[in-house]
Amino acid sequence: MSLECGDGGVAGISAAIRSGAVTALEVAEEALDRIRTTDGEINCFTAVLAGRARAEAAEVDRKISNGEDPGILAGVPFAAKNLFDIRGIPTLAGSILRAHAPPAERDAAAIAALSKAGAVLVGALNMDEFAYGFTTENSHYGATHNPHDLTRVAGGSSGGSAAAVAAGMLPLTLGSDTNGSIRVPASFCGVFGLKPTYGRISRRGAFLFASSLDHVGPFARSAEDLAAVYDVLQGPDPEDPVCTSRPAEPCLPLLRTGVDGLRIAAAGGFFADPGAIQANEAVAAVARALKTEQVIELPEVARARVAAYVITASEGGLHHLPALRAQADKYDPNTRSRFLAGTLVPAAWVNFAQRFRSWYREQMREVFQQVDVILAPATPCPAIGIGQSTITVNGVEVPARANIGVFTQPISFVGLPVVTVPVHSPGRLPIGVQLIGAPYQESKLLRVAWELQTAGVVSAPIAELAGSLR
Amino acid sequence: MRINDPVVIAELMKCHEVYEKALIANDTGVLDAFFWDSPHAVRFGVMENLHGADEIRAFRRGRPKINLDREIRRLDIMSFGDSAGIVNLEYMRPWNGVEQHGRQTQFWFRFEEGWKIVSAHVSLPLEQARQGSADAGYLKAASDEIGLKIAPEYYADVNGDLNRLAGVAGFLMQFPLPQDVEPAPVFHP
Repeated sequence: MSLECGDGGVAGISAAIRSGAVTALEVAEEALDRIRTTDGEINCFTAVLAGRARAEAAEVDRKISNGEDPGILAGVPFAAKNLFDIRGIPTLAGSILRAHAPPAERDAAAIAALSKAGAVLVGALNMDEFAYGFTTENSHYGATHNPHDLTRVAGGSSGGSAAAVAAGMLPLTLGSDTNGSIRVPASFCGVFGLKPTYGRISRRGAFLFASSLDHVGPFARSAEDLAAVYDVLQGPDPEDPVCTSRPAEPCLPLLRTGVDGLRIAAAGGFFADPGAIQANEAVAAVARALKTEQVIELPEVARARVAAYVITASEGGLHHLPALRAQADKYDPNTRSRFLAGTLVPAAWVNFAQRFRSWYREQMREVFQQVDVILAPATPCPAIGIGQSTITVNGVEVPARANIGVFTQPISFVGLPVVTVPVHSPGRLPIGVQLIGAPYQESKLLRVAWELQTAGVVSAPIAELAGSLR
Repeated sequence: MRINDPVVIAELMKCHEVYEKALIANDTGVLDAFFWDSPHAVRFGVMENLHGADEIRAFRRGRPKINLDREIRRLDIMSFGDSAGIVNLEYMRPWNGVEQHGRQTQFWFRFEEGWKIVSAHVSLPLEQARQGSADAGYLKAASDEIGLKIAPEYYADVNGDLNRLAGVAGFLMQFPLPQDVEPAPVFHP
């Protein structure tokens, strides 16, 4: 990224463009170049929209030269997981079934909000088919490789979104999270990710997976970038039936107010698996930097995870029932049997899981009477190898695909907001820590993320790609 | 005709070893190459009846790559003359937390291009087979009720997923949830 743009983050780029040090068009061309030279071996993009990017960038430049306000994200290039509607192209949601779907008529709400703030859309990003996976090993569009180690997965299901930021192709991307699909790839790729409170950011125009649990949110390389983007994205939208009517509560103005007075504790028990060594070390480093030794036990976490699994299976399967009736053979072998099985889940299980969710929400409300922010690992291990089928959890070898989200699933189950912060250490792959808050307390989480970043404990350096890629 | 000629037995042993390795890795290229490329080839699996090389290939391509590892408990190889042999084995494989004791029979024939499996049969002992068929019973009945026709080659995997769900749903539903707790139809966290 140009020297004028500072660290190449959202804030640096938009400031440089608004000051006239660089044009939006130059920044867009630079992003397109970087994608051309690096994406061959990483495989983030399923569509690069060079024409649209140039047109939007030119419009930002026109506004600036006319003295109009180009928006807080002026000229910031970004891309979205390919389950977001992008005007003029089919919304793939990672599937070949949708390769010939009618082109979307308008942009998804989240894309429209970023565009309105001056950001420039450059493309659509790879994901697990229909978001049902934690690895972005897509049988149709290929695996997305981890920029920190090309033999490893980027995590999923928003793998393309995390990898594009980690590889320095873009400072900002959009993803979605049902059971961990923002937090897992943020952890594996070593970038910041924000899964907001359920219903806080409009999902209008995003291809749903399991509506009771679906969230959308951003990836970026710093706390201030996440805060700026979150403030653009948050707010009511009558077109998303689960979107809250609660007015937006801007976070950026409070970002640098410190963490004094915040009660912070690490999650114990279930979240402190003795086998998850690097994950525990990352949580300990974050806790140390925040000067907390408090540990808090969350009730019935294992059941919360199971209940999320049951609801996901059923809602996911039934969302696809018409397509499964007609074309089950076109599904990715990695998702097919789970979608089919999901259609057959007895109502007794789903109803119980939904009622359990109400109960568990009450328990979590009580927990947040005692603390403001809970620390927990985002994943039990750093990025696994492409094709690796098992991981070890609590000393037992278990299928990787279903278990990478063991620490994320019980949190999104009741819609709690989470900022995933990346911990990098020399000679090792990055791993993420979840900063978990009470509903609508994103601001506190971003303040903690800023504090950790300032202390040098968390960071999102651009991956050193092999020389051949440059 | 020599029965169990050591040279022929050694050839079949080598074929078996390569095939077994490919099976566990789900190396479909190697597996396909070892099966007779003919509409007459037959493979009866635990849950599927496959007729012809095309059906066998399609099944392999659709199979997930997890949990294919197995431990061979007993291996018997027989040969009849220099171009016909049978490989029989018993194996143990954990599946959904239950140790399966399976059996496999392969009929091998030597063609000009080398040894090929022309017919194979995999089965589970009666009790486990009954369990599997009872599961498939739910799958068939429930999918019929919602107008969803599931192709038989997917039964094994869908049943595996249903069994996993059933296992964890049982754990969930043991929880003493108060009767007056309602679901939240529109969920405000």
